[in-house]
Amino acid sequence: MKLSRFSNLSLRNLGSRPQRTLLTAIGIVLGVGIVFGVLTLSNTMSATFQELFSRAYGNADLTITAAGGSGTFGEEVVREVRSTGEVASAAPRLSLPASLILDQANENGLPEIQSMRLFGVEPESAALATGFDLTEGRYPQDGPELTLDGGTAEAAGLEVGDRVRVGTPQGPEELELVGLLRIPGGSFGGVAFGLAPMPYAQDAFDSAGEVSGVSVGVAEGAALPEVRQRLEDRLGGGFQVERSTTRTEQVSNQLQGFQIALLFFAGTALFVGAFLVFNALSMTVLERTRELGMLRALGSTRAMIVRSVMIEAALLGLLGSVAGVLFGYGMARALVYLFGQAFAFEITELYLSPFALVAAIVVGVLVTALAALYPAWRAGRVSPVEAMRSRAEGNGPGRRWARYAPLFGLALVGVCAPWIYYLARNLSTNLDGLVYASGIAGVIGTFLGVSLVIPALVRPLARLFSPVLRLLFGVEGRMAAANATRNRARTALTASALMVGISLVIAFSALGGSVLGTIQASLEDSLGSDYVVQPVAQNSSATFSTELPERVSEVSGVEATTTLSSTFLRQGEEVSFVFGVDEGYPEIFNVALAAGVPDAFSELENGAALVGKQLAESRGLEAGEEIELPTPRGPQEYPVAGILETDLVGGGGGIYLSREILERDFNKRGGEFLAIKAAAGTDREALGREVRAVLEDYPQFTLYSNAEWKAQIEGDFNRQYVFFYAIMGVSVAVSAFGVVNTLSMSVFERTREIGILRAVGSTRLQVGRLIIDEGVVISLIGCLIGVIVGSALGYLFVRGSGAGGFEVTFFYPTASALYALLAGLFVGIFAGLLPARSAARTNIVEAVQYE
Amino acid sequence: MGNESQIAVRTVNLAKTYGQGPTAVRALEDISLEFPGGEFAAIMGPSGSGKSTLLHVLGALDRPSSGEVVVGGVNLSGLSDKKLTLLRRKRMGFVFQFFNLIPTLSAEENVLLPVLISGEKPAKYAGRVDELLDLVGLTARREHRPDELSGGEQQRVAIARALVRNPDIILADEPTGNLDSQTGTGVLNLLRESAARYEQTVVMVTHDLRAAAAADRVVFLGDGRVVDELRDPVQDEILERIRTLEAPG
Repeated sequence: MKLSRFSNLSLRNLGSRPQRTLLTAIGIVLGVGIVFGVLTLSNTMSATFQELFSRAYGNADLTITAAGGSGTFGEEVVREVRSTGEVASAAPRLSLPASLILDQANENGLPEIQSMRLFGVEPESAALATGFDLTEGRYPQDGPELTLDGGTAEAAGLEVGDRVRVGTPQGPEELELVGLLRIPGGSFGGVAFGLAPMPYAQDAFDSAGEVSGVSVGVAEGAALPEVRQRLEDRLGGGFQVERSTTRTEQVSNQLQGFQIALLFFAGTALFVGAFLVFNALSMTVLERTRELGMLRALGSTRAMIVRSVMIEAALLGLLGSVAGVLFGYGMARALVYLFGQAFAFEITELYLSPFALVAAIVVGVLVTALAALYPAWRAGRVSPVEAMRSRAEGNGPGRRWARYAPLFGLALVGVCAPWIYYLARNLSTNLDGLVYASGIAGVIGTFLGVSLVIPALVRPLARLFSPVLRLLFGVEGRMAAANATRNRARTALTASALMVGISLVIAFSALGGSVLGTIQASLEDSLGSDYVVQPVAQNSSATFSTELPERVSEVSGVEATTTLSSTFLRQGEEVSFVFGVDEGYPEIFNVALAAGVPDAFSELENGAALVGKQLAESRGLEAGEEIELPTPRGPQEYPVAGILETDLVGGGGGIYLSREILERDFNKRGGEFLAIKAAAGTDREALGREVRAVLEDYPQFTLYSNAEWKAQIEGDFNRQYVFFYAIMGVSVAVSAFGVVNTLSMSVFERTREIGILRAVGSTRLQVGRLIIDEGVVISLIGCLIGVIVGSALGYLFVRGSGAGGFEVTFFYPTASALYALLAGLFVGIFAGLLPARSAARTNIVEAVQYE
Repeated sequence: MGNESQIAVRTVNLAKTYGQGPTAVRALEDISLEFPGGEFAAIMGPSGSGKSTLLHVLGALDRPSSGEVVVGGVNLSGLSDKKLTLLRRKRMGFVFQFFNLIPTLSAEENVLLPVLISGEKPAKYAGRVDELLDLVGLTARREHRPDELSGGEQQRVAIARALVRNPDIILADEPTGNLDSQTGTGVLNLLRESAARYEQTVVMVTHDLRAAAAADRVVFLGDGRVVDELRDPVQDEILERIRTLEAPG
């Protein structure tokens, strides 16, 4: 194609340097890829949750639940609902935590357990009670029958007509599989979903005569708000009547914070990608100084030059963004998989939205264009006289503001860091998108501030590394350190990009490690048990009846046991957890009171409550006052007998009642957690064996020693963090490419110098090492500052997350910090390999004659 | 003084100073010169005599510190960067020592570059490009990239490029500086012939005696001032003047 317009020169420039173009575009590709991946994950999550929730609770117009959302109530309410005017149909359901006991064995030889949400439904109204379509067989009619979601059935190799074992509070029950349902998104987040006949479910789960919700279909032409009002008036304060869509909206609101955090991590990759573009375009401009000068001499205006660089950037951005979106599809798949692993919520169907597609491409192009502004402006400033100069010489950025940049950076950090602290301190009580966004702005501000300070740090840091490098790499090491300080702006820019990724990793590892460490420490402090019994599956809320604790306490050597049951209360957006405890609780848990009567615990029997410190503070509650909770029996008031200093299970926000009260007011009787204390001098091995023998009848539960339990918590934690690390890792990878780019720039600029070194007797290896060492210096600067900034940010996060009662102790992430520095070394070496090769291959004669 | 309309470029008390205070360098001082239309002028002088700076200022690539440059009756003082650019585009052609071709463009495309820059239709110049490529003897190599051409060929492309929009003035900075003497002579003849054919004024900075001898007039600079002039020079004369100029004291 013949060049027909001046602007096509940009395209020609991109095409003529494919390697550079690729290297520059990689930042955009990865950045846009991860942004698109996260957007798609976000969409998929929202869409999956929304559809699941709207379907799970039926295609009803209105949904009736007990006040607080999770309690049960008597089934006579259904009759009342049906007899209310303009109610066309009403479908009761009893939602139960259960589990599926599969024939396959896990690695311990025990049967594989899968969590299951079981709905007790009436055969005639099952289709209204849940909106999932029946794909095979029928709804359960009578007796031990089960209709299961198709995804689970397929995975477990179950077919209609098979017998299935289901874990109930009394032990496993055998049901016949009579039908299959199709769940949008493939499954209920990896949790099986089943339907059983109402009377059978009530009986098997100790819930005779109870239901947990009613889906209501309104008569044709009736006004929804009126029917809703009528039902509310009729049922009274113990119930909430909601439009089905309200539930769905609440679910997506709860997801918002998480999605914003994800986008932020993804955004940093793009931010770092912008650094890369900025660097690469600056280099291109520098490299083409004479060419640009010539174009100016031939009559190109400044605007034309600026435009041509901008066009080049826009093309690059578009190219990178489109590739990024393609790449992002794979990333989205990987993220959805990782999300499933981390949060025990499997999603099998991706929701690709055109919005995410367009947004990712637009953001990619805009970010590239933004990063190109300064290099383009610089290109426009190139004097036509440059065309006559013998050799392009790089002139650093304006000295004037370069001198004040570090001060400005410090000021920026000084403003942003306290802001993050302030926000973090108040975040847990005030969580919305805007606050999140301003916190993120604070973090970005901090990064920018630090980036502005880095040029001033390059020289001292390089000097610091110099003796070490000399020791490690000989004289090349020392020269490399000096080389890294020759273009401080570029070294600083490259190091800054690395700094951002590394400091995020360190900050989050500090936060995660501290929360985990604190939990483990308080377990140590306040838990006096030796063993605990918990559901096998992480995502299960299976319960057990009183039989299990009774049998366990009969095991010889068991000194004390305590059972915890729980429910959650939803009041608008706020969710609180209510625990039922028994008289064994103080023997095993260390009850430390911040306020209240000395024998506060024994007051629970009389209907009093204990609350966590954080909850008391956020609601302004004091001992002696009363706390009002919505219950299926209507709003109830409980005197607060005491405020708990450490609230281990509730994380500071728990409300503790006696188990009898929890059963009376919330119909919650199944135990979820059993702690066992062994008598002094007992053979623990034998005790563990015997308890395990008991648990064989309750395969959905398993026994953990304290050490195993801690390891289990740590494992869950790490799984969730791996998900975040994966996203942050992308920005580290992008910045590593930045190091490659900078090093190739160094090689290009120093062709002559390298030639001279070779001429005076440096070997190819030595010249190559010079470049690699420079890469190591740059990436070590970035990683070192990243570790420092990350530690500080992590400290702020940790101090901030201790808002209210649950104070998190700061644990320094030593291992992560060491890994980060090691990563710095390796990034430097690997990034240096290609540029070093081209330096080593420099033709001596040509290089020396290079004008 | 000649008729204003016949003077292609004129300078009045031109001075150019770099830097300020005690470290200031006076590159040009009080230069008043006239280059009549159609003249082929050479500027010579030792390194640092200011000859390149003079060429930059004449070509509107750089601004003088004081004094005036008048190109075709237009006084350049006070013109904006944009106006200067447009003036360069319309009236000037440049030939550089290092050829300065765009490496990604073919010979033909490089010749067309000023046309593209000025936003004109390349088709309009198809005949002109053919003519120029023929003139510089590169018709057969028009599709080649600069790195596939020899130094002399590259410089001939650059000359064709300078001529394509038929400028009034061609400014050449050491056009033979990077060429061997035989190729240099060829390029010089080309420059001279084409300037004569299209009635253009050529101002050339050079170190090369033979190049200077091809000129109608040689202007000698020393320490930023015009120190001598020679009309219709021959090589020996030039050499003699240079010796005098460079002689100590």
